[in-house]
Amino acid sequence: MARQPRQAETVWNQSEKVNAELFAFTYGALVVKLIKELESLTKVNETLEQMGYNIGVRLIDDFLSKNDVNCEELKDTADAIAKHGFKVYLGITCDVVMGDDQKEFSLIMTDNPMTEYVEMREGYGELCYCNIICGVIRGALQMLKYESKVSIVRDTLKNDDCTEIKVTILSRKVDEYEPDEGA
Amino acid sequence: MVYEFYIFNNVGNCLFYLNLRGTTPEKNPQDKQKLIFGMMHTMKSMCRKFSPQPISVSPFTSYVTDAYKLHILETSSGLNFVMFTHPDMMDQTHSLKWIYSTIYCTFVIRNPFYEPKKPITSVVFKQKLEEYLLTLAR
Repeated sequence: MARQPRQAETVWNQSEKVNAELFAFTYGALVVKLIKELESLTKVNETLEQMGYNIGVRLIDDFLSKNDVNCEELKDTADAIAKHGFKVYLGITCDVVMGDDQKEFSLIMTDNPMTEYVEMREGYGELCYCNIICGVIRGALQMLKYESKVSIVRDTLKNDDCTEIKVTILSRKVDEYEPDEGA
Repeated sequence: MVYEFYIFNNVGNCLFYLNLRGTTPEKNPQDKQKLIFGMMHTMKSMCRKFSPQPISVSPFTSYVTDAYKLHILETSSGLNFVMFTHPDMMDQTHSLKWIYSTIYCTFVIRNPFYEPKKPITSVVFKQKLEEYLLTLAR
């Protein structure tokens, strides 16, 4: 396990970088445009989550091809997301807190490059600014055949001390290949 | 010398097929693709069942006959990369991994117009893959 943080660091160093301000501005412009166009903040949250889902179903292949992670139990999956996934794509690492029943875990982010310049307005309490990350995690787990529910339970933009993303595994579905009898 | 290249997803749909042999194309490639997938699926589950220790990652990587060698890479996301080559070719797991991480990820995954689980129609992907496969001499 000790070699894994170094592996994530290597992949992060080798990957091409983009200007963090450009990333923060682009994401911010996207969220503001969605707020202006959609009627409710709930719809904005759902749209961000759906966008994240579409990213997640592709990102998982990019992640798996560059990171050699072998997960035997949920704790390994949580560590892979927190230490490898976040490191390689956002340049930060998160802490993992496992749930009691081995079906859920929380990722605790203390700093987030997406929300560095953001100050939440009055009346936007319902908005989950980083909901796209929840979608990405859900999409990636979906491609690994896990149905999950991912949500933000604490948010630094709402004056909490950290951003906490809770992941609950609902079920594992295995697509069964059905061979043609008549072929 | 690579003869053919296939990409399947976990339910058996062939997402991509490339024939480098230069022979006339088959009339019904779907039948052959179903056969290949069925055989692969059986081999993988047989290998898993016969293994003395429980394993989650498929240990089946290749088999060789007099006429060809079949190489396969299965990813955790359910993709299967299958390559038919000359029987004397060495183990190609590293080149399949290269194809997955560099060619597939760059030209298929990063294209926002590609829908996962649908056949791959990218011209650039086919071109880059063909270029790479032609360099695999041994």
